[in-house]
Amino acid sequence: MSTTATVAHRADRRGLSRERRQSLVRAGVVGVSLLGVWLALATALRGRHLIPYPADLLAQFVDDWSLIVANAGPTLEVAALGFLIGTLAVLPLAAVSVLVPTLEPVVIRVAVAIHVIPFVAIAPIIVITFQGEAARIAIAALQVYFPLLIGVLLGLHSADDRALDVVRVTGGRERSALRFVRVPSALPSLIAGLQIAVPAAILGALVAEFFGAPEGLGVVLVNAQDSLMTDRVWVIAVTIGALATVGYVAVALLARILVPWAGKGAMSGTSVAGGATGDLSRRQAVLGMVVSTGLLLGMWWSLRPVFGLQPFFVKSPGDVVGFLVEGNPATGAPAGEFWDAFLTATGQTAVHAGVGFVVGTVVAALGAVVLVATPGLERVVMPFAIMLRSVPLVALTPLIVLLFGRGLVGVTVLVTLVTFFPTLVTVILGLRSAPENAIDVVRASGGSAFDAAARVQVMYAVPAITAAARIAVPAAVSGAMLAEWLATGDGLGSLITLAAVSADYLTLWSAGVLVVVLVLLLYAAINWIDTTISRRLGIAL
Amino acid sequence: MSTTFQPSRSRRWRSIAGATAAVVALSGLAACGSDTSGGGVDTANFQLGWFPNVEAMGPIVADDKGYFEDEGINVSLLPGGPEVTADAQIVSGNALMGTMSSEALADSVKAGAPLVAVGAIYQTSSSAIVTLADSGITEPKDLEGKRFGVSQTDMRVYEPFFKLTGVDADKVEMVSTGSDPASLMSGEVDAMSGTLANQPIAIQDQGVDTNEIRLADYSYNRWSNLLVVRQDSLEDPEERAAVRALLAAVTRGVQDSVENPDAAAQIVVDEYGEQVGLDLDQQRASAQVWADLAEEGTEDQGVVRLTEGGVSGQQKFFDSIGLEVNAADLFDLSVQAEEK
Repeated sequence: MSTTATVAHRADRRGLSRERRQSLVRAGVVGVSLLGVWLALATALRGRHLIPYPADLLAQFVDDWSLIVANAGPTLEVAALGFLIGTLAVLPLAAVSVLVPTLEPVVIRVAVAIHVIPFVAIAPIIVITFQGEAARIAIAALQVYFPLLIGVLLGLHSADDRALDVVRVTGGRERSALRFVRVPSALPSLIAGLQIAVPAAILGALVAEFFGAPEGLGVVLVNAQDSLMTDRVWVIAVTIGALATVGYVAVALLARILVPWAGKGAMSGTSVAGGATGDLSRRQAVLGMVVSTGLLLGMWWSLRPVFGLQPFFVKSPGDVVGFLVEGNPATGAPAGEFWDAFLTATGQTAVHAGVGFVVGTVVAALGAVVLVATPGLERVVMPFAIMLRSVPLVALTPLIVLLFGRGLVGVTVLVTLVTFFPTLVTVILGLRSAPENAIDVVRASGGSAFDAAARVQVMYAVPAITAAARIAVPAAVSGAMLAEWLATGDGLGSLITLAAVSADYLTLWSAGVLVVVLVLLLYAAINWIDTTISRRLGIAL
Repeated sequence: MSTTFQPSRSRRWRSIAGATAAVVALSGLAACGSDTSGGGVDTANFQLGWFPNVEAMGPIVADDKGYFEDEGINVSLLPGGPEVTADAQIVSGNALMGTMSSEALADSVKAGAPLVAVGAIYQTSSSAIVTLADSGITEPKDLEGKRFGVSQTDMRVYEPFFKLTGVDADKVEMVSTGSDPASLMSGEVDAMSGTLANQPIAIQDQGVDTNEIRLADYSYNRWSNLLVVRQDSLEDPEERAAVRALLAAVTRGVQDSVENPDAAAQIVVDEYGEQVGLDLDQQRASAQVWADLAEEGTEDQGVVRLTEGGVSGQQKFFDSIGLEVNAADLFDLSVQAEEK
């Protein structure tokens, strides 16, 4: 008896170590091939001041260590406080949306609108109202709240309908359902949301420094770029990526300690954030639309009186309507001039954002399937994915435009970098949430891990893909606009930033408002697609 | 002395509270009033146009040497950056004075900003076409058939500049590169729109020689680092006195920097630059260029000071880029006349 047990135990241990060895080999293969690509690029592009050799980078790292330490502090402080405040703002909003389902579309619409307002329009308001570090924290918080809100709502909605029914049948009200079913089942999505928010907070803190800061990694990065200190640019970029990776891993570890049961077959519902719109009556939907539009207009209108801001750089709804209908009162330029420029630019941005979104989603979804189907690979690849997400585009652009040009290919690469990460994280979560007994059925009947992924898990990942689209669509639009400013010089990104630097606040606000309207329309379209698909799948399951 | 950027503990907490309020307000939960009406007479903010470096050596030296205190005013220098909104900062009263280029000032005034310049630090344009020495490009005409990297903000300057200098703009391939010198070093472009004190010095520091075609040499003279204030600051006697004090102190700082750019660079690096990795040698070389630009064109009246002739020169510049604005409305020569 005891011998059999020992043998079994040994086999078990050997099995474990084989798995570990396998994952080590994979890590080695990934690491070596990345190093190979790096060396090849550095050799091919040597003398062009674009990529340092690994050894040079390491040497620069040693030289710059005290510089990094001195400047990481201020940036991380802003990122951490922005993360905290963004999180604290999201949780009550999410709870309210679930308790009062009528309010959810309102919360989401307002959240989306604020999220896609071009930064150059909103930043002066923040910088002037809050000043200094407070303004930078607010900017970082604004980067955090959106992916987090979408993640939390996805989780709260993903509660098992049968469990919810149990609570209701036994006389529980929505509040008990929230406490006993929704919150526990929301944890995996909440954690995924927090993980997506970590790089967003760090990038937000970095971007905030561009509006004026005495110190920080963003300041060092720009100074290094201006001084052609290419090695230092990369050292800072890698540092930022590493910090984001550490934050991401820390969230995962904390989650494993605090809520060890999260992430194991917990999510089995199919409804997603915002998808609730489909369940609302037509009257409620119309009401929600009126309320959110009224709320947004009211907030916009109140900016000037409440914060005491000047009409010069804060345009009112009336100013914008007047400009769009009658033209610029100061210069006498007709409204048609703006519309021509705006429509041309919108066409260009639609192509950039559309292609970037599709490529980003496909890359992320395929990547997620491969990562879930290959045990151990996620741990190896994820840090590089986080790196790619959190390295500021300003640092990568010179290299990307040289490799891929300033045309559609280059822009697509830039937009994909912005969009793929939230989709990757959300889809991995979706794939993991497939019930284990369903996977076991495939495995037991001789199917491989890939079969399991293809036949069962993908079905469960579909809601995750549409949920991810809610983050990726606005990200693709803002990513395209950033790429247009950095690389192509056309589209809405160029139109809006040029308006900002030449103090043309009427064009800036009008274009910004129209972008918000367009993205809200896109959102409505995603909602429709989403509810349609979820219903079909719901029946199929 | 210059501890202006180190927030005290209580200020930090206030800033956290402020940021919380920002997010809450923006999330539509609540909105609380905040009074942004700006500074008294004994304290004022000065908005810089970029992260602190030698381009701002005038105000930084003035701060370091206590020239603001000498004038009886306590000044905080607000750092700028690539996305700084100096116009909004001054219009809102957050900063009593800030630096802007003549083009940016004209744009803002045209868009309804009640702003006016009381002085100008760089009255010779720092704008230049920068090329590598071995490119063979020495005059504007040579750009024909070449790739020219230009930031989108500079585009409107270069189209009329080409017309003025007889360059066939259709033969120049314009690439939207921004101001990063890497695009010139990587060979993506043959020439780029740049700033005399920036890209050439960064490139030469890599041991590569450069050529610069100065726009000012072709009577294309965009001023930069104008000292801009709100028009109504000049109407209020107390604020006017504060503006006068700032103008006097900054002028002394610029004067010192012009006389000893090496010392000015040392101060900038000690106070701010070392913290953020600025290289002392590059800053010294850059300070020398800025010092020359501050001196050139102000030899008769003294640094920072405005003249009627200078203002009409800016009118010519505005006219040439099609910026319809009256330069005389943008500059106020009366404050400098009141200086002791």
